[in-house]
Amino acid sequence: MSVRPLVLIADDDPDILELVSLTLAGDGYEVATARNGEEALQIASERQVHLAVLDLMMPGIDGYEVTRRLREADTEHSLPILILSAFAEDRQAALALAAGADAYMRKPFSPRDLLAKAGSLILERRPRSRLAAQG
Amino acid sequence: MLVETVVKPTRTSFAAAKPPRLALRFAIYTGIALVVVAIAMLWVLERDVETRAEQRAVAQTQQVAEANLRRHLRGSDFARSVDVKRRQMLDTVFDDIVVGGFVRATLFSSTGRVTYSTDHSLIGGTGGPSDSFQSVLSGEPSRSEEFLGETKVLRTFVPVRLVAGGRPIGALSLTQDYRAIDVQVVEAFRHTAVILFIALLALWGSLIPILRRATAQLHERNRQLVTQARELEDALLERRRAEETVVQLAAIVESSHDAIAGMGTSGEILSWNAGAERLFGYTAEEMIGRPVAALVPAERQHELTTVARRLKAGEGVEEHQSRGLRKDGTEVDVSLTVSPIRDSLRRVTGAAVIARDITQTRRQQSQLQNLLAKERVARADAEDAQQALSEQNERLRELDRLKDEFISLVSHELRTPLTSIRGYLELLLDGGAGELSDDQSRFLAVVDRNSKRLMHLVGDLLFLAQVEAGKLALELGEVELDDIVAESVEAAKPIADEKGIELRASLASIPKMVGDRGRLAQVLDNLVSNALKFTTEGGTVDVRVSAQNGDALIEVVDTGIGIAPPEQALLFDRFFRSSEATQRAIPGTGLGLTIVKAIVVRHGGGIDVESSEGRGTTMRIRLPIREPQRVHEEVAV
Repeated sequence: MSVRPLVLIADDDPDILELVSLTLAGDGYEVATARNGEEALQIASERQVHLAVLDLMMPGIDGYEVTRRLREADTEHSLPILILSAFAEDRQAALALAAGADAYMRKPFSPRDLLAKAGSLILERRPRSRLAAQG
Repeated sequence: MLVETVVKPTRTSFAAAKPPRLALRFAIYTGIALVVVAIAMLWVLERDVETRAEQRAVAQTQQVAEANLRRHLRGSDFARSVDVKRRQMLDTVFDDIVVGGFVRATLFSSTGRVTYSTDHSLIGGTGGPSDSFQSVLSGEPSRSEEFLGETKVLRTFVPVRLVAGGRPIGALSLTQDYRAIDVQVVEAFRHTAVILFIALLALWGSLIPILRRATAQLHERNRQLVTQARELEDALLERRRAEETVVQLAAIVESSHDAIAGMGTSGEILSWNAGAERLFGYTAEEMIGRPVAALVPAERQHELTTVARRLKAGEGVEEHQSRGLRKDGTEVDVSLTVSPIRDSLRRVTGAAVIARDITQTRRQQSQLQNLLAKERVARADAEDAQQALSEQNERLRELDRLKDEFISLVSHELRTPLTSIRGYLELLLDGGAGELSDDQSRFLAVVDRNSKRLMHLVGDLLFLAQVEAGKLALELGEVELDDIVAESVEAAKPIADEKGIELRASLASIPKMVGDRGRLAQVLDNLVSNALKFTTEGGTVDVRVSAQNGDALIEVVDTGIGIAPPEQALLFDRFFRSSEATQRAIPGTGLGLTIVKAIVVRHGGGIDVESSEGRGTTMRIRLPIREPQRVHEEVAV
């Protein structure tokens, strides 16, 4: 198991994708970026991801659908999913949580808030994923 | 209609339960009659016997007077009272007279004076009834019954003549004890009575068997009569009932609205009621005897054959829908019922034909069908309209959804570039791209400030869009107004300090109330930042919280530039900015107070403004204090 947790970041806006990557990488996370839903699912299927940070509005498979599929594959609910979206209304947040997301963060975001949220989500799951790895 | 009062025939009761004991009655009646007859006969007989005895007594007296005494009596004996010597002589004469029950003998003068009597005390007196005495003197003997003391006596007067056929010179009376006569009478009477009694008894006895036989026959005859009478009465009753039934049936038939006709076996009409006259136009006289075929249109004549066949088989026709032919040649829709009529031997002797006019029914049916068709059309129309309406609704909902989506998308698309601007700016300011020079930092601060304004603007626009769309949803919870105010004031402190404005808060321990904490904080932030924005250095901003009449009152009082009266009313309009603010280039979007008002109103409160130019402005918010407990109860109700 790698020492640095792997964060999957999916966003169709390259500027934001880089911004999030920079923010997380700067704090020591390993990042894997995807420009759309298909890529994100591809990566998730190939690598051991510790956190998924997903945009909602993406061409093709959108963030809701990616969340649902990840959750379907993740039978033990070991992958935390953070939605990072420019939708500011509660409606979208509720839909995302219903699809299986663990947290919802609005854009524009504060890098500090993002790091704090990412850290706490990974920490919550770690014991369980370790148990799963041992078991 | 003929109304007939029918007296219900009732049966007369023959109370012959106990036949009278006729024989006994007849026996008693004849017995009584015979006894009466016997008594009558005996009475007549007795009278007869008595009269004869008396006549015999008179005859005897006459005989005594005329035969025996003539020899001894002289004329002088009747002229005056006899002397003693003569009296003694006469006494001996009368002693010798043998007359049954002799009591006394008396001689009367022609003047009625007693000249002699065997009872000496009577001599010289007068005696006897003068009337009968006169008749005796005129030659008629008479007799009378008298009482001497208690003894009933018969007194017989006879005239005394000196020569036969001569004039009576006096009278002789003989008084006899009646018992002497009675003995003769009773003697004669007894024999006769006994014979009569025996004869009557024999007669009566021979009558009884005859009576018994006769009464037995009488009883028998009586019984027969009673039975016959009963039978007769029953028959009569039966007949009357039958007649009534016939009358009633006839009345029913006659008053029926339906056409009712009697039909013979060969199809000829035998009877024809008023209903038939009305329906077909023929009178009974015209129709009776004519064939029923006259009432059937040519193209339906074949139905007659069918009906005739059915009747022959003893079957009828029930409410067959057909058409009839009227006298005037028009046709009429009828419902036909034909029933066979049978005699007592169950042979079909004809048929009863009932025809009902169903033109009206037909018309009503077709009207009903028209109505139903119309109703179907109307219903279809209504369904179409409903469909259109629901489609319209669907479209409206779709539009609504699209509008929501549009607002979401606009907001999303504005925030996405802002995300990059803000994100990279923060990276730069945090030294993520190396040390910044002072100028770089200053310039980036301008970018930072303005990007924040843009953020606020986007946030405000989204918020207002939600309010406009009626979609401002409050996240209600328990809020402590004092806390919100304190936090807001605390947050604004740095700006106030920076501008040299004294920012003060006075709180009042408002009880916990129901509200959306985030939105109320937004209200306070907006008001406080507004107050600071329009207040110049050295001024004050007071934020006061108080409770008043169950409402929470929040006042934000500044000593700022104030608002011109004509503009005060426009203050809460979207994008409105006061001329003073524009002139002084005080930044703002003109959305802050609009949002404040929307939130306050959504909380059930109100806002007003009080301002004078150059002296300051007071914004006053009134919020109803709804206690959490009360609200829960209301929700429960």
